[in-house]
Amino acid sequence: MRKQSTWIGVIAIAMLVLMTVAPAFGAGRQEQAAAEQITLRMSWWGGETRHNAYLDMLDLFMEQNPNIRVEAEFSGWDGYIDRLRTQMAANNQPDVYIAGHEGPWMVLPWSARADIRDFDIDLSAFSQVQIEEIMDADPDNRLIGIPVSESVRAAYLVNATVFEELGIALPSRDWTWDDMAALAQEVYDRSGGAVHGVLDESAGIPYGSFGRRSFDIAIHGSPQTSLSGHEHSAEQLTRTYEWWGALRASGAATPAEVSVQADDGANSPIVNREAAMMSTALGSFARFQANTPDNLVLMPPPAGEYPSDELSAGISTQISSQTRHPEAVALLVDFLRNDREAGLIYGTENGIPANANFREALIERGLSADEEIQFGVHNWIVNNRESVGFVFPHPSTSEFRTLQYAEEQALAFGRQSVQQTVQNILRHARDLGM
Amino acid sequence: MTVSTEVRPTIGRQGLFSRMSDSAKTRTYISAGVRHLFLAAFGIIMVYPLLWLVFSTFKPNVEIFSSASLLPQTWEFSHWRQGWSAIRGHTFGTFFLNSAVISGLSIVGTLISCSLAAYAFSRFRFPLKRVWFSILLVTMMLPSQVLMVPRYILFVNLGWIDSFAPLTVPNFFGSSAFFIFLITQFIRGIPYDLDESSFIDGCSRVRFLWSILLPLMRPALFTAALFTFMWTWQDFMGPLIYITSVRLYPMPLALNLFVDAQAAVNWGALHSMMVFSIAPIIILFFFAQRYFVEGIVTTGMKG
Amino acid sequence: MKSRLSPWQRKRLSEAGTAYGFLSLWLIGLFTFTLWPFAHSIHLAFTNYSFDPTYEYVGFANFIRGFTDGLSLTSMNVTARFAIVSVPLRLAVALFVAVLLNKGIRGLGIYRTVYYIPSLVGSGVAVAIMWRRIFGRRGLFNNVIALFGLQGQDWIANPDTARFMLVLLSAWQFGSAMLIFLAALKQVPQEMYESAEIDGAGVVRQFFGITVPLISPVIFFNLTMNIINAFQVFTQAKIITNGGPMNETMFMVLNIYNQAFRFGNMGYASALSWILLLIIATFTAINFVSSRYWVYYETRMK
Repeated sequence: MRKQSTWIGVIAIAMLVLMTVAPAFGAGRQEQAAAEQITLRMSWWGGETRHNAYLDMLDLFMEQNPNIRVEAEFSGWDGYIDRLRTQMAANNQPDVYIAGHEGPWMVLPWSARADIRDFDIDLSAFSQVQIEEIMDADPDNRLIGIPVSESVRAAYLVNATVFEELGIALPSRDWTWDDMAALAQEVYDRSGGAVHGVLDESAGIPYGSFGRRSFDIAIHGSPQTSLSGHEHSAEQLTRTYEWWGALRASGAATPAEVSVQADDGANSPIVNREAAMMSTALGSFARFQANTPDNLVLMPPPAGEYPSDELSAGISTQISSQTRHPEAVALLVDFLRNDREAGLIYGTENGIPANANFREALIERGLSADEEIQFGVHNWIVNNRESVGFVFPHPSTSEFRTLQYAEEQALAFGRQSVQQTVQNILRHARDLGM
Repeated sequence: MTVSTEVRPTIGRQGLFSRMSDSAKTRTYISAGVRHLFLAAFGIIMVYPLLWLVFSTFKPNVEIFSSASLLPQTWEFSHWRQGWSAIRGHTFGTFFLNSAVISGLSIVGTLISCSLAAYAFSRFRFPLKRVWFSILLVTMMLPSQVLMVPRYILFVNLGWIDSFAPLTVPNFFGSSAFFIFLITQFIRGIPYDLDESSFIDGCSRVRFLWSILLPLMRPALFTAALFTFMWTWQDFMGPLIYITSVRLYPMPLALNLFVDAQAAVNWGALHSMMVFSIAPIIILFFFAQRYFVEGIVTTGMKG
Repeated sequence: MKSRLSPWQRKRLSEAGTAYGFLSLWLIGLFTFTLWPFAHSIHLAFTNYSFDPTYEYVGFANFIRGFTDGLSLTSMNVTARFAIVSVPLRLAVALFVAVLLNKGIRGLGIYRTVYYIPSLVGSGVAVAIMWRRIFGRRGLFNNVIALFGLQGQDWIANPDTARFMLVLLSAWQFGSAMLIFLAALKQVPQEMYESAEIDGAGVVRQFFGITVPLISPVIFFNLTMNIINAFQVFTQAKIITNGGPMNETMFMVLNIYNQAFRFGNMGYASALSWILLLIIATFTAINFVSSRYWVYYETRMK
């Protein structure tokens, strides 16, 4: 008996040995011992084209700075934020990473993100509205990122093929929300109910919607975030829900069962022809067009009484507050977001570049058909619209949205009245201390 | 009760039929037909998603989601080649190999550590047995999502990040409570008379486990190996958190490299590599399943 | 010393020693890889940790919130409803198909593989899309019932049926439970059926008289594991319904994930996890107590 225990003990010890030598296999990070060699880590998410663009940029950068090696840690979108957040909890995040400043990105601790102004990086080519928007997001008003693109949030996708089939003229760029409502009705009526006019933005769309936010700012002058502090909130919410409720009732907007499972890609109502119009970010145009044989066109967001936040900052290049090589990091970030060559390689991977010089360089080089469409809308907005920057800095915003969407879905399914919905939403806001 | 001590043929149709009358044979044929009809109809529902996936790799991207038909309207053959080398500097061969190494090590580790622990739980009396067994079960009850951060911190401290170690080494220490429990239940279904007669013959515990119990446990061990393979092959969150270098990515992470929230996705290429990822499991399963059929019957035992 | 122990005691002692020898690997793993993360999460459950290095202890506030917060109570409610329907349905399907496939029929290998495919394909995008194609507004199911003059609806988007669609999906992925049943069925000695047949026992009596008692340890295993898994249902809900519509599929683990990784309430999420653990443990304990009356072990020892 004793013999067997010893025997098993030997296995256990062998396993322990294996455990201690384990890091050797699979090869961990190779630390270069060379005296001046600096290794930086950088992460981003994306698809094939973005990975290749960043890899090309990094190759160019390492060619220009032979003493700096950049390890690329790239992945797809799924789980990207989860990984970054986990790394930050262990102080093991990459030196440079791509991230946002509001919505889901607010769960990245602010203390893990460095102030860009502490680094030697040129900010002169970026819009002040965007810089200020990012600063407003940070509780200490620091600048935690350099915008990558100048996102038009609520650009409207219009299925031109459907419009043509129904004999409806495309809207002009200075259309208003009421124009849109009328067009949506026309689509529904002329198609005999087969196609709805527009995706219902008020029905708690699961991925969150850009159009709803643009609508609120344009119609009410505020995005209704700090709900408990605003006396007008109840009135504004009621107006929003009644406006969209009327479209839903007449068939102009999609019914609840379409809206609540709409996604912003392959299963979007515009791809499977359930709606002829829907809102999206400007940079996502190519994504939708790639999923459908129909011809899509892009419109600026419809106008309302107030200026909206069309040209707000999207994602940004951010720096870890834990970085041990501030000079090298500054070189890298400045290269990525200010170097003309880099800008040409990256192109419109995230939509219209935030750096004004990059935009000029791209136009000089010549634009593709998809880019032509995006630049056209962007230019029009720059020349014809006043843009404002709004951020939702409350830490419970994401939680509030989840609760709000469930109430809105109940409204869209006809399970509760507008009044009840508004009351519940305001109660949730109060409970979360907003 | 006792267990068969001789080698018997697998359940043969002839064996059953020879004892039957003609009318019984007809009835059996009809019932077999009905059963086949039922199984096949059911089977179509089962394979539909896979068929859709396979055919979608031959559709142009604009057709994949906008068309309702299963078969492509226009055949497109470039997706497989695009998908294979979509990620610059790496092919899916690398990712496949990474997955194979991780799965292989996990299977070896799981089989060794889990069958040892399961033998202890099923055939020994020892102090605190119930306590340890309860702890074993409780370790499965906390959702892995909240353990992600502390586990990551642990592996950072061990210096294991960006290697296969966090994904494989714990398996050598019975990290899959599921399989310990599974094998325990199987051993408990094997007659205890066997143990006693062996010990009277002077067989040691280790030899008993190795030469008598293990062969009997083949179906259970095969199940454990298959599940370990499948779960590590499909695991996404683990590799995502622990592995940062693309050259060490296993298949699920590599597939995710195609998917972006904003940009256009080359669905055809993605789906072709998804099929490439699923195919080995299906093929392996198809050929390895005879272990289920044989199981205890042909293994036999010398009493 | 030795002389004070009776031979019987010495045997017990040596048996315990050997047992701990066999357990040693698992014990090392338990103390190295499992207990510390567990302890860490208990610790966080009593704090307001939100990934920032500074946090405070909040006593039982997170646990109290877990039992009073509307979203948390909703998630407990829908999870329980999901588990109660999905566990018996999945096990029944798995056992039924396993018994069906256990007989020697032509093409057995193909059927077994085909039936295992849903579990192999996992619950990725492809499955989500397929599920929509079958049960969506313009889906296959609606086309079929239209032949009988019935008006369909979008079964996944409808708040009344969405959760049941996920129950169906979970039943459809019965492959793993089926394989475990198959492996167990192979351990049942064939003579028992043969002698029962000679005694004139029908298929149903054979099933309940021989099959069920003999594979009861494995039924018990599948029941226990499926209860644990059903309460931890997550992926399907995240990919297909994202908790909606109207939070009808906001299962506990989805809520925990959201709280931890989308809302940043890591402390609260940890507390919710421990509440979930207690719920699962309670059901498992009930299952264990009941097993004394229906599970038949070959082993003579406890």
